[in-house]
Amino acid sequence: MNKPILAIGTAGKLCSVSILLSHNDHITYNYNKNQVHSEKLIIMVDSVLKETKLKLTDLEAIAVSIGPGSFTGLRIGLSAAKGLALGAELPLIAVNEFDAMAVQVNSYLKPGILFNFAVKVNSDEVYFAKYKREEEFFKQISAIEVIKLKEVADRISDDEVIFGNVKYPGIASINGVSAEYIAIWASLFGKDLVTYNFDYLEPNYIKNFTIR
Amino acid sequence: MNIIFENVVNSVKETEKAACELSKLITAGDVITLIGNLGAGKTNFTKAFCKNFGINDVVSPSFAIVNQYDGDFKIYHFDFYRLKNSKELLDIGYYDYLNDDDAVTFIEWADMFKDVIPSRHYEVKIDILGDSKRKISVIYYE
Repeated sequence: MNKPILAIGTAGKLCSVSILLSHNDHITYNYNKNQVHSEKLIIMVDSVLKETKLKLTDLEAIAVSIGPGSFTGLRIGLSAAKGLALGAELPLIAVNEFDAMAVQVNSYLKPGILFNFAVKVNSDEVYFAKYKREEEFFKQISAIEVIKLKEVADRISDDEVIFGNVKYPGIASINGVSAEYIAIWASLFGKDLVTYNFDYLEPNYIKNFTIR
Repeated sequence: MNIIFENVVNSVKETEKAACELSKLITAGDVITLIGNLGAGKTNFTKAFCKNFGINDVVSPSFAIVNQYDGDFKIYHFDFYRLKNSKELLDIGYYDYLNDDDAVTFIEWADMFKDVIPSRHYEVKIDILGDSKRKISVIYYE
């Protein structure tokens, strides 16, 4: 990473914007409220740029969460990121929401432990994936899929941890990733995903939405 | 499945009473489906329900697909009548509305696309018995 990365996360209730200045330093603004994303996102980007005294053109890239998560939230985040990137001639890095969440929770977990994410699709279904904490970083064990909330119990054993925003015994609440982790993921693993060709970049809805 | 009540009503006034009865059971996050033929009084029932929460601007969402009202509760009012398939709903962020735990959601013509109705919901079924005579059944599904 040569220059700072701007990251945007709008997949959940949390509307989050961050500038990662170096591997350890970041400034992050979070707005944890439903239905403010379209109203606040650009103001938050502006504030974080002012705070760091940076211009968009000083950045290396814009990293954005492409989900899975809220249909509307992802559309807001991705359109804003595309607009900013196009205007400032910056590349985009599309980051999987669950991978960024794995970066967020990883350091709290013991190596070897299995951890899961269950994020609400609707009242009956969840986006679900399993990860494993490694000595360094983590490994994805199962691909993200849509399963019934009732089936979550069959997918995890007692010694595993679960994060998400659904009602489930022992779940650690997480309402969307804080954007610094999107930037950190992008700076660590996003090298191959840097693209200027983002016209057709779409949210990773997983569930089959018809987009027009 | 649990039948909450079955009332035969003879006037709009009595429909309002039934709506008031249901409104006492509803909390934020609940989904209420409305099933009945054209002119059965689905929108009227919703109107009467919303009155109890200080909302007086309820109109039929047949054209707009979804209306939003702000009162003591936030209320989303869907109408599936004009839709060709349920994918059109996903296209407007249907689940973002339903996942809003601070709001109550009404869905008219919900029987058209049962695949997108959450398993836990209240169903209001209105049968036309005469000019202004209706049978209103409220059923709770878990």
